Amino acid sequence: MAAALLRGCIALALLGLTACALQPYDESAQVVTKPAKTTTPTHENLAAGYTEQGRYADALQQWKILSTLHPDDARYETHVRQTEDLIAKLATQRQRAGISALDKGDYTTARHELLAALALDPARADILDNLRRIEYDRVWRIQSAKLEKLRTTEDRKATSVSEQERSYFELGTLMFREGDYTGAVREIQKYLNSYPSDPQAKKLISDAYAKLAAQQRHQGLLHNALANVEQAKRFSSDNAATNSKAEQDLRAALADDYYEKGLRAQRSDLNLAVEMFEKALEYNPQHAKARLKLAEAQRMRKRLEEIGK
Amino acid sequence: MTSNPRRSNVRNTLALSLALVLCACATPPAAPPGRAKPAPESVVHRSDDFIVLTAAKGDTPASLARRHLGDAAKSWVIEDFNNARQFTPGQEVVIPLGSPNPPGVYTNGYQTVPILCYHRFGSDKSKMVVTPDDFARQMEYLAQHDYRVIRIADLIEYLQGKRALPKRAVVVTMDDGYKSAYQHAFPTLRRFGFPATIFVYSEYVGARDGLTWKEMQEMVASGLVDIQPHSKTHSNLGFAQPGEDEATYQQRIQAETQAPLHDISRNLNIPVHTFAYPYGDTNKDVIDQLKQRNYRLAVTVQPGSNAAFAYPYMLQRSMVFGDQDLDTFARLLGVFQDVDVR
Repeated sequence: MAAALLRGCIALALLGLTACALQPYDESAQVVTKPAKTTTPTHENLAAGYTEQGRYADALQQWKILSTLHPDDARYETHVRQTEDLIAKLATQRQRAGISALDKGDYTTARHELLAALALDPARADILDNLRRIEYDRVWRIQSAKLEKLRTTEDRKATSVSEQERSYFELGTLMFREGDYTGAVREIQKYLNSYPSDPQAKKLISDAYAKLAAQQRHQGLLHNALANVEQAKRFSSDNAATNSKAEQDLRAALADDYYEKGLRAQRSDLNLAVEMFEKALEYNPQHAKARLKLAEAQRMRKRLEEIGK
Repeated sequence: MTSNPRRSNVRNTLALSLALVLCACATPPAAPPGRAKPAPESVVHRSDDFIVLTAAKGDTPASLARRHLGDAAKSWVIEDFNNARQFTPGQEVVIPLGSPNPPGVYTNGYQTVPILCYHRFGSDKSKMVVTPDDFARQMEYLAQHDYRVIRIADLIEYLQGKRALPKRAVVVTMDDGYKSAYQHAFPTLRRFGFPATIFVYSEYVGARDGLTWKEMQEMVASGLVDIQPHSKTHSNLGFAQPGEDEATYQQRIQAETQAPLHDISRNLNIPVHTFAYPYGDTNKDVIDQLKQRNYRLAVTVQPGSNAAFAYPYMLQRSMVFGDQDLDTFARLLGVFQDVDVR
């Protein structure tokens, strides 16, 4: 009998286990409908307090939380509906007051009323758009004032310089001091894009171009050096004599270079030789040897053409 | 007192069996695979608007966000609503299921989002050059003071009133595309997991100390860095240059807004949505061009933070300068504007 009872108990246990194991997962089984009693008074106090303070949107959240905690308690749902109705009414009133002020050009009142309307009903995209009109006007006035200053300030004095342009100028100055002349040119040019007449910036960019030219000449990059020394002259006449001398020297060096290339080409390619001597004269019209050799190469080429005929 | 051992055995067996059955039934069924299971001790109340639960041991804003909002990255929704970064077991937690206040406008003021603007990073500190150490300290400050660094693209829906942002949302941007953004800022962004947008102008890409497309591709692949246009040549678009007639000026602003859009799309294959005006300068013609090219946002350098009702094509940005101390930096982080509108 005991064995039979034991078998029965084991069977019962297995049946129980099987039954439990077969229960489908039900998320609602985890949901306890009994509210946490301790938090309910807190939410009620908050809802009442917010209502008293006119913070209806915050009060609505609290009533909705209470309604979540007590889905079967109709009182909270009633509070939700009443608060929603009140919000809709008040938000519309304040929005109307805001738009009326906006139409009269009273942006201070309009902004205040529209903010109040949006605080009541933060989901109202139309109120957001009305507020944006005011914001657009505000930022646009600041931008217009800056542009007007840029357009009208003749000498573009430092007082009219915006913080960002001033910063580019400072960065350019720093790079110049560090010997990064390419960087200095780039940053000062950004400043000059807004203030093209600023003499201090023009002097600095001119010096940067001149320094860059000197570096490039040392590296044998004569064309680049010449282009940069020309820029140095264009931006400032302060070092006119030095820059002109550098330009002349570079032109002379380039003319010599082309003259040498012409001499080498003369033995095998008269057309190339003529081209090289012409370039030499382009850079230095006073290059007497290049002029003589050009004439000589042209004569030889003409003679060869006649023989060819 | 004596007892019959056989009867006792039967009693014990019966008790054990019943206990086994009760234990088995008391254990809740397992959640199906892939479906989050609430912690057993959680008391959960649900409605269309909220979930209200009692925090269980081990519950964090991230774990609750993963379980109830489907994304741990939405932990800020729970943190902001409950005004808490962590929970103790037994504490009530309210999880909003929608956005109760997308524009963040309240009776005592409204949310604003600061957009920080950096330029160059390097060891020689100057106004335009922030040292890598200072940048790391600033990012650390954001992390330690509960700021949430968001992507600039997150502002698109926020400005439409469709999406709430973290209460302490901040955007990080860098202008011009200096190589130092890759060398010095990117490692710090990675360390903190902060997103940032680098605005590049086309003609500077690949220059000696300018970013290369390869470097930009690497940063974009990290998922943290977004590259957006800052014009073609960095000329001032706000007005015609001396000697530039109206037609030439219009052609210039067309080229300056279109070329970088094509360059970025072609080289990085990412959506282009935000334009940074060189020098922060713009006008109605430039804004029209941006709208025609489907830019959604544009940023100036007017200092200040942005409310949900900011004009999307003239968002304010605060420059971070190398000579600023941490207190000055902190003052740029305006995330709420006090106004009593009751």
